[in-house]
Amino acid sequence: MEIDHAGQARHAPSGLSIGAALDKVLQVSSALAGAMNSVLEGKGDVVQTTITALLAEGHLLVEDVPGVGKTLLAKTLARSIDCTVRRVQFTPDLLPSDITGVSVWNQDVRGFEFRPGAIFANVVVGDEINRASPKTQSALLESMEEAQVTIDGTTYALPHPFIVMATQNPIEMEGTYPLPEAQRDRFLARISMGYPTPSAEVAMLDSHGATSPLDRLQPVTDAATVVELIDAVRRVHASPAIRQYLVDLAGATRSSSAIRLGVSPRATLHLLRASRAHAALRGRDHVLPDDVQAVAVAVLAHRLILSGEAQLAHRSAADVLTDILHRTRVPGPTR
Amino acid sequence: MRRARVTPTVLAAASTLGAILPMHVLFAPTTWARPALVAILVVAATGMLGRWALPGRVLVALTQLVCLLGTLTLTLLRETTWHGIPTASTVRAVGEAITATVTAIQTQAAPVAVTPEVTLVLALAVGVVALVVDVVAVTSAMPAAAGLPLLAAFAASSANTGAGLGVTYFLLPAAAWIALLGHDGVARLQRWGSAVARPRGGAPPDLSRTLLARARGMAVAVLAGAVVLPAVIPHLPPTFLAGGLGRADDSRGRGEGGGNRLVDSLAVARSLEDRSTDPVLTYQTDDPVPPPLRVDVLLHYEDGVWRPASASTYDTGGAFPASQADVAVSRRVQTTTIRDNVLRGPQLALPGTPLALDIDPTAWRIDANGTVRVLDRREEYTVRYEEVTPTAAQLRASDPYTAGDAQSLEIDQASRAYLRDVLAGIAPEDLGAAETAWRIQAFLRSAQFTYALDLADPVQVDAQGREVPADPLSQFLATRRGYCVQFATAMAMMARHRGIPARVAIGFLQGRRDGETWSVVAADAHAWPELFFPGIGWVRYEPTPGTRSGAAPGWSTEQTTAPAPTGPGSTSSASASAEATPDAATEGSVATGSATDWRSRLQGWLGANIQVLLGLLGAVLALAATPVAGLAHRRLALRRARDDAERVEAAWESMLDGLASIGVRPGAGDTPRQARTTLSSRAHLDREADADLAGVVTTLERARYAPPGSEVDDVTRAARRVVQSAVSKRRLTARVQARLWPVEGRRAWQELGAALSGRLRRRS
Repeated sequence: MEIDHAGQARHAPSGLSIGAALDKVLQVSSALAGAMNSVLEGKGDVVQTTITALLAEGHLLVEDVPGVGKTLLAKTLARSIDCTVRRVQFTPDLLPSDITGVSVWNQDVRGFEFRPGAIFANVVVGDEINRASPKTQSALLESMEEAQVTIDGTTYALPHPFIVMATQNPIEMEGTYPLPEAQRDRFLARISMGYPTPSAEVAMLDSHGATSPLDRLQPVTDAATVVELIDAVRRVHASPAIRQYLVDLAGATRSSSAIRLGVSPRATLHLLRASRAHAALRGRDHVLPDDVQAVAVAVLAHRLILSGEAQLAHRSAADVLTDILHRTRVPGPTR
Repeated sequence: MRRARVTPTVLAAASTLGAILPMHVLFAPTTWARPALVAILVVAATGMLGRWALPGRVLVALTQLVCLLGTLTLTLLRETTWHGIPTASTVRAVGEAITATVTAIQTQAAPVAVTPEVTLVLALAVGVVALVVDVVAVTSAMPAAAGLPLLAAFAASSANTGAGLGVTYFLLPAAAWIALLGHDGVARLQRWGSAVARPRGGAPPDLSRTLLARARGMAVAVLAGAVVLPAVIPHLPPTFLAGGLGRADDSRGRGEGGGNRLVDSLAVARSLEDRSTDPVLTYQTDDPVPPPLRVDVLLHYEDGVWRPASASTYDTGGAFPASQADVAVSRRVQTTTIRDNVLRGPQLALPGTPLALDIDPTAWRIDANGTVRVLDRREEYTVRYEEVTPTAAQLRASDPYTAGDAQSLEIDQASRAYLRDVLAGIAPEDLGAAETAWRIQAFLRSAQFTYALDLADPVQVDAQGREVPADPLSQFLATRRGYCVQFATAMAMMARHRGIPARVAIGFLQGRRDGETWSVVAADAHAWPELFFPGIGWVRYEPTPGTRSGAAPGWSTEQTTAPAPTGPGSTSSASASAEATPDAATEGSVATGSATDWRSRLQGWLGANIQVLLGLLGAVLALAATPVAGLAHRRLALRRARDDAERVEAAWESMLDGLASIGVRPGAGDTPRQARTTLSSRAHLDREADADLAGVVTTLERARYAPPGSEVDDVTRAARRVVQSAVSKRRLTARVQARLWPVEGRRAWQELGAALSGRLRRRS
């Protein structure tokens, strides 16, 4: 709760009333979703989660087999918003300075001049993040968490809004450095693309056959509007009962026998943010337990380490989480 | 009515009835049948009602048991209850009845005399069998398994009858049970529904009809086989197995010319063990209480065995010796026509003291003892006889001490000393003959003696500690266990010991009456003592206890001067209590009768029924306690609510409790919205109630999760409407349960208990 109070205190409420701000959220997000859906056939829920993560100021980990449109999703989001976009193709020989930037000697001014790296953009698409060495990975993850980069004693703030969309391939193990659990924790949500439905696949062959619809995509919003939306989401009310519910859920993952490592307090905070965004996307000025349940699997599942028994029983983290959601009582009012 | 399962219930009751039918051979008269029938009917009726109205098999079975016990208590044990409610004395009465029945079954030869105790136990046993059959066959729908209790009941009753039963006894329960099985099978077949396609034209036979026909054929074949096979396969007669090898032939004597012969050496036991239902003879008589039929008279006792008297036989030319009784002694003259006699000559069974016989005078003789011998078997004959019925005074006036001859006073030397000791404890030496006879008979008929066909081991321990064979009479008097021969011998020997002439007659009891005809079977063989009183003649006594031998003749039990053997103390107290009871009853009736004013009559009624009224009031209060507590809990929660949000919470909690009372609960982790979906589908809410529920949920969400200051409606009424709509859609039993045993009321009690215990803990 302290975290939440602190979070709310940090951002001054904008001039708009909460109702008007939420109206704008609805309007912009539906335009954004429409634009993205025109490129990504039949991926409405993935698009929805992506927008939720964007409004919750979180980073997104897209994890799936090659060729299902991970990079396309990231590029579509970047193209839909009129903002700076950088794409980094992670390779084993990528250096931290390639991400963060480097100071070079400028002969003219007789001093070091900072050349910003790939991280200095509103949307950063990190392709195949698990191909880079841990050193490079941690440079990215550090800046993700703090929204700033410090080089040679000088701190450079990253632009606002700032979202990293990293993709990784769970099947291809050769020459990869999988993200440790501590670093996965930095991502607000993980989504899987999944294969398209047969009809969506047919439609995709039709639309992507000649030219990519991505090329025709026009931005529907800009960075300043997104910042406004993010401010509106921060003003969504989370009642004490909801906060208690979040803590209960986090506690349940920590005490469950099927889970070796439960979720961190940062995960609880991420869950609150995502729930707020989810509520705001439905035009509500307060969070319901249903919002929490809707985002819980995407926000929490990638942070859990299952126990040996659960793994032997072929239970996925999502299964265990669904189970916990079914069993954890929704608290009544706290008096 | 489908749930009640009427047809299987009727079939189960019919098979129970069939299985217990052989019991009527074991217990006579059949007064026990009506309560047993009532027990079966009660079990069947409550079973149908219970299955129709109650959820759960256990509840149905319990209801049946309670109704069965209640009916038996109210009909057979009413006097032990308190206003129809069983008390400790009821339980005691049942226990005593069971003990008495077990004793009766163990000591009496079949058929056992039916007393109220035996009736109770039989009705209880039959009811339990019916209950088990009903529960297994109908409630649990396992008619095949119900065959086991049916078989147990059938075997228990049929095995103890000894002789083979008629085919009908088997066919009836077996057919009913197979019909039960068949009904169940057909029901199962029909439940398959339309899985099998039915041909339209009817050219190939319908599959289910083929199966049915085959099943019916198989059932009939099995039944026929079960009846025919035992008849075809040679098997040993039950008596042959029960009585040891070769005995069967003795007792019935069927080996020689189809006649029956009472063995002279008094092996009456063999006849008594004979379970044959073929009559030895049947007779019709105008005598309402026919005396036993005498076949022979025995006077000479030697080495523990009675020998036939070697009396000379006279040819009286068809006339009987004149009666020895005085004119003053009252007598009855009766006529009996005997038919279907299979008793072989020269024996002839004749009742009382014969006066005239319609047999060719050259074909029969009479001996000195009055025993009639015929040349060969007579199938049918009529006899006119008299039976003297002396009064106690006449018996007392007669002096038999001087009348005896040597033969009728001969005493068994082996048991003389023992007889003297026993007699000393019964009657003083100087007592009159009539009193002595009464006392001996009363002694032998007392509860100290046990009627049993199997005698105790004939051994006794002598002075050196060795076991030596005892003489039969001493052994009988020591073990007090025997059958009619022992009792008759003992009485005759005791009478002779006191100088009263005595003899033992053997023959048959009057047998069983069936309309106008009496029929006598081999098991009716009997022996009884006769004592000689001058001026009266040979007087029959009946020292054998038990129902077959019947009550002792009237003259042999009249006691006017002799004190009761039980002692004066108990008699006086019994008579005192007998006197006190009518007095109390009279007083009570006078008190109520004199009260004419209706008010005092009402007071009297209230006074008499105050306990019942209090009980009813208590029951009503107990029933109302939980609903009232629930109502109070709801009201209190609403009043305690400090703001609108808390009122909404209270209404929501109350609604959840109300729905939980009919078994509708949301999932453990359901959010209000999910709870709405779950509740709406589980409670089958209609549209209006669903809209109400939606309103309640929306308001609850706003109260719980919206920013402070949001407007919240009052949803108390909507929540009540939801509960009422959901409850009204339930069955009557569920509605009653929801009203009388609401979850909210139970919660109120729990909270009260928790608060009280918390206060107590704080205080301590």
